Amino acid sequence: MLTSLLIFLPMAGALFVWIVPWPTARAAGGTALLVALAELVIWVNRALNFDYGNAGLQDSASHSWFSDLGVSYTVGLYDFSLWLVGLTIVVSTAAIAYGFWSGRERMGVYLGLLLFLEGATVGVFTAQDLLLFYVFWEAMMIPLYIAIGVWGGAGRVGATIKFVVYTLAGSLLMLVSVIALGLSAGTFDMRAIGENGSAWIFLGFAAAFAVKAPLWPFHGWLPDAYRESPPEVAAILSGVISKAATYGFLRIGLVFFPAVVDDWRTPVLVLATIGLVYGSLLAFRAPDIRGVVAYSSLAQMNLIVIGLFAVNDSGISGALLQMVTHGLISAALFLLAGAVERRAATGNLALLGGMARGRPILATVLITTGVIALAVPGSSAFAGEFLILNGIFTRGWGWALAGAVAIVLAAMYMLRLISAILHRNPGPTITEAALDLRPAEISIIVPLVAVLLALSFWPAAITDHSFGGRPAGTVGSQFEAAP
Amino acid sequence: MIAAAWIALFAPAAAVVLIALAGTGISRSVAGFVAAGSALVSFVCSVIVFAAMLGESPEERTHSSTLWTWLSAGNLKIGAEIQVDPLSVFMMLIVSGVGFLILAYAVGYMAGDAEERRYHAYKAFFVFSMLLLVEAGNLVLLLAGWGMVGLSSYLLINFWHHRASAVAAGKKAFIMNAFGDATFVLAIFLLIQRTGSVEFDAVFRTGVVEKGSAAAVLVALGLLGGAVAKSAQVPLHTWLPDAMEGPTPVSALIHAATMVTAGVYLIARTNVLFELAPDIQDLAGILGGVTILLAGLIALVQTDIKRVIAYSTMSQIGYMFVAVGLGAYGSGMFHLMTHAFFKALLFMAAGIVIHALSDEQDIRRMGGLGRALPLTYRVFIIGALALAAIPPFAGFFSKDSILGAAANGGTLGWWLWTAGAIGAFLTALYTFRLLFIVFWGEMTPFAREHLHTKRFEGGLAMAWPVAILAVLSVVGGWLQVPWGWDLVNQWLEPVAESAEEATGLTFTFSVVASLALAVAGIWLAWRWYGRASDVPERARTRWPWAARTLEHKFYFDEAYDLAFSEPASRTAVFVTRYVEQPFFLSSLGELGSGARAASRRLSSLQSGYVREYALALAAGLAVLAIVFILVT
Amino acid sequence: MPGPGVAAYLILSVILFATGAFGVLIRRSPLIVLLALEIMLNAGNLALIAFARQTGTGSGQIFALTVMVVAAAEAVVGLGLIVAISRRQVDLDVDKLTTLRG
Repeated sequence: MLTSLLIFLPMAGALFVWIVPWPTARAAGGTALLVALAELVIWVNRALNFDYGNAGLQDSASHSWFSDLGVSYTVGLYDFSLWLVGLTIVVSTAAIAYGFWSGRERMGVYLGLLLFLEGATVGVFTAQDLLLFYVFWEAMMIPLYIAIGVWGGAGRVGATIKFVVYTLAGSLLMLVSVIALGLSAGTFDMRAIGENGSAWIFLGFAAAFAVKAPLWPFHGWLPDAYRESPPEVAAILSGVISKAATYGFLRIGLVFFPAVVDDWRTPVLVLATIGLVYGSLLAFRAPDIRGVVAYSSLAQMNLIVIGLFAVNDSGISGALLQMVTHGLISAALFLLAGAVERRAATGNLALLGGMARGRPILATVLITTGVIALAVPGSSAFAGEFLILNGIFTRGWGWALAGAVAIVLAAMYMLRLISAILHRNPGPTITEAALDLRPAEISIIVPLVAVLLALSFWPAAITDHSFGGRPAGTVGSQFEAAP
Repeated sequence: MIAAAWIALFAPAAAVVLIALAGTGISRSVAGFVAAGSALVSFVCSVIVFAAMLGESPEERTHSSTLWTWLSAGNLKIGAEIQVDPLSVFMMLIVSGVGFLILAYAVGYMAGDAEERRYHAYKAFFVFSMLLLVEAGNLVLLLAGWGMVGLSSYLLINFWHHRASAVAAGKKAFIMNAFGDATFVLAIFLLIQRTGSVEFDAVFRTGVVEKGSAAAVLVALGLLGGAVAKSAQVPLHTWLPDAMEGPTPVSALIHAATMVTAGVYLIARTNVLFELAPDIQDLAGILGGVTILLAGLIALVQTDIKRVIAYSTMSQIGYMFVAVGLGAYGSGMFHLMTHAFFKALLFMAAGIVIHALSDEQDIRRMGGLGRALPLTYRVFIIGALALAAIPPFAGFFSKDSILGAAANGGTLGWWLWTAGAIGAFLTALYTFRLLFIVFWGEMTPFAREHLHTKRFEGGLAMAWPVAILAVLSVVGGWLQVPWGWDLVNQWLEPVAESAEEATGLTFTFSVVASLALAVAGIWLAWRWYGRASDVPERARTRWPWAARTLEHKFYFDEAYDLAFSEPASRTAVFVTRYVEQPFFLSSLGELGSGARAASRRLSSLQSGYVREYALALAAGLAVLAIVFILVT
Repeated sequence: MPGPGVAAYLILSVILFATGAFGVLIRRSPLIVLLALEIMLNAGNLALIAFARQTGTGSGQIFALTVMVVAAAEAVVGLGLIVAISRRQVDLDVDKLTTLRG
């Protein structure tokens, strides 16, 4: 029941915002923000009362949809999906607040789209029926296409078409796999589908996830989409939507296809390792803020895939922790990129600089986020990367070695980003009129950073409260018996 | 007692939060007092822990406490855990004690800087990180402190962030240290694989990692990589001299007294693991020996007052590496302590000189300052004598303890002893070169024009910490006296049992020889720099290649640029231009425009004539019908 | 049962369908096109009922009824459209309605 509420509250809110003839755009936007905040409150309340010792599905709801195919509307929360739902809600709320604050055109429509996106994404993380999962997956894409295509930057049309072509190609392959898996198992209930040995079905799913994450070399859509979206959409896209893909690998790939994952480990790890180093290298040379964040995001997502494909306690726990951490980091970084671009009218690093002087809050927030992003030991990103690399180390030290190289590269590109924005003499586009972060921006971005700091203090908040306290390496077993 | 250790750890962290949240709500100097006060709290707590430990029998001096589980995955549990034992309390006293003095000094030194609060917050953050490093109860937490001291070092090196050189130096320091962090973390992975744990007890338990096995070697190598990077030893040393871009108190605290010696602490802490890989331990000693000589030689030609001291720091840490490389952990830690005293003293005295000359650091523009700054001159002499290891100053006892251990270390020991003895000569030479150039002779026009002094030369706020350190630089060495007593070795014995030092005639020879070399160095410095002499100039023209090599610091920076920075940068450009651009952005980027062109062509089929659509429908149907009939 | 067999009905149905289809294809007046469409639908209906009679079950008849309802609805919408078009545009000629050309 509560899960359905989490899914449909934002969707209903979106409809409400769309349909009602609001007197002003701000009224429409304000309503959307209120809905998002209400959703946040519900989630926090749920997270505080969640039974973390229980590995089973909680708050589940199930209704038959088309009974002859065994398709049903079944949703529910596992403890680890609770964290991803939380990530979705926190980042979406920040994004909606940022969109509201920056006064986008046709605000009601726009923020309604973001609300709808939030609901659909929560749906992806909670659906326990394959077809429902697919429906939410597609429902998640539509608002993104519109938001980028209509509210994006100058090159938005090209970026959107590329994004649509890539993701649709992946999604359609996934649809085939959904049907094939559902028919071969005789049910679409994800709790009842047992293991399956078909590599083809796995690859169909993997195609969709690899495009969405993105796994190298399926990232062609990423630079344009991240550059052309409004900053808050980029925040959701890299912070949350990409996690739907790694969630898919975890919930579907690892659980239904353990033997296939075993067979395909090496090729996937090779691709992911290339992607990790490749993304880090490109981030090091990217000419603009968004480029750096986009490619670092590519690298991080590949690192998360590495953790998942280690298929052991350390790798999977680390991947989960890193999903949440990276989601928050990239959301904060994209919003900060938006803040900088707003002031300088450009994201070109060569034209920026010297913003630290006289703008202590911007400098502090950016440096804090940046050093967590480069995984300075002691940060939550470090905790995640540590577990991931430790997990993959047992599969072969070479993978961990490549990961360690990427850690050094991460330091290089993040410090470059920080310095290019903040340090040295002010760049040509930075004038005295470029103010420090405004109170509204502070109240949107600082909470994200505060959560990151809290997670750095206690990363076990997630690793100790997921998978029912059982070893994550046996992640498959707990889904098998339907409660 | 363990509560005191926790308070010592968190007091500076609380100060950081307080300063950050208060913002402009508190005055700049109050921010400084908060930071220094938190270090004082840490120091008092450390003393309490120390006193409590004195009352216990040596075997019972190890205590640990876990507040919460920091990170977990399956059976691997990593606690937020501290361990206080003789070694960590030894470090805690140095870090919080010297830290307090330098933070107090910085209140005066930084007064008037535009971003003073940020400075004090960073400084307190450093003290917290360093205390975390030394108090950490497991390897991962140690690594967390390890990384965070690197972070605060980065933040403080580029504190004056409008200077391009400071920004570059900060990045360089961080990235070289990130390299060390990476090898460190790989060593931890290997240990987890072998022992399933990161706890000190579990990891050090005998028999888990076999002596001399590949695993033991790799673990020790990984740890050594981290130690070498952090402690600026050859070959990962090039960041330290550049780090002098930071404010002088930063150089004193981070890049002389505490952080850079963390590598020595790490080796002493994990001595069990190094004993399992004797080759790597020897390597640590050899790197130390090489660093002593290399840094000593480079220091001879440096013209920046802080850089001379920075190279001397590298070279002194080289001694500590020699000590721990030979298993003389007590001597190494002892030298770490005395070095913290006299090196901090030298930096702070240099800071007063720099302040008095309106932030000038080039020694060629100084001279004759002995009369203008008599107090500073005196404390600088104390520091210089301690550094040059002249009795009864602190450096003498600790350095001779190390050389004594080297003399007892077999063939390798004698090689290292030789390096150390030559190093003693070089140390005396460059230290007194600096002293004579800065304080003797005639004042340069520049100095006369820019000189301005306050009461006690740097103001009272800066004077009293310097005075305390001056006293410590004299008496600090008396903890361990040859033919007398060895309190440091005894104290550390439960954690790290030190190798035997040479005794009798060998030891006497070692002491006398090194002392003679040091005196010779001072004498030579006096001949060349203490009075008008053209010997250095003649040498420079006679052996220009030698001068060039030294001035280019043996071309390490150039080699690294060529071997790492350039290739990395080029690879990145290459990948961007020849892989990402053509394959992912352009050709696949055509996907978008290609789809649009194709649809434009296809759309001409859409004539708008309804009848044509109907005809197409009918035709399609007819085709289907025919196919159907033919097939069945 | 007396009377012609199912084949005869089918032949008639085909003739009707072809007539309708031909009308849709060659006539330009939307009114006549609509008329021709109705003939096609009723050709289908005839076939359905013929089969229903042959098999003796009711489903064909029910189908035919549904088709009638749909045909009526379609006629209403179609005629409405034609009226709307004629208000805006004097000529009632389907070949001039090419606004949707790609």
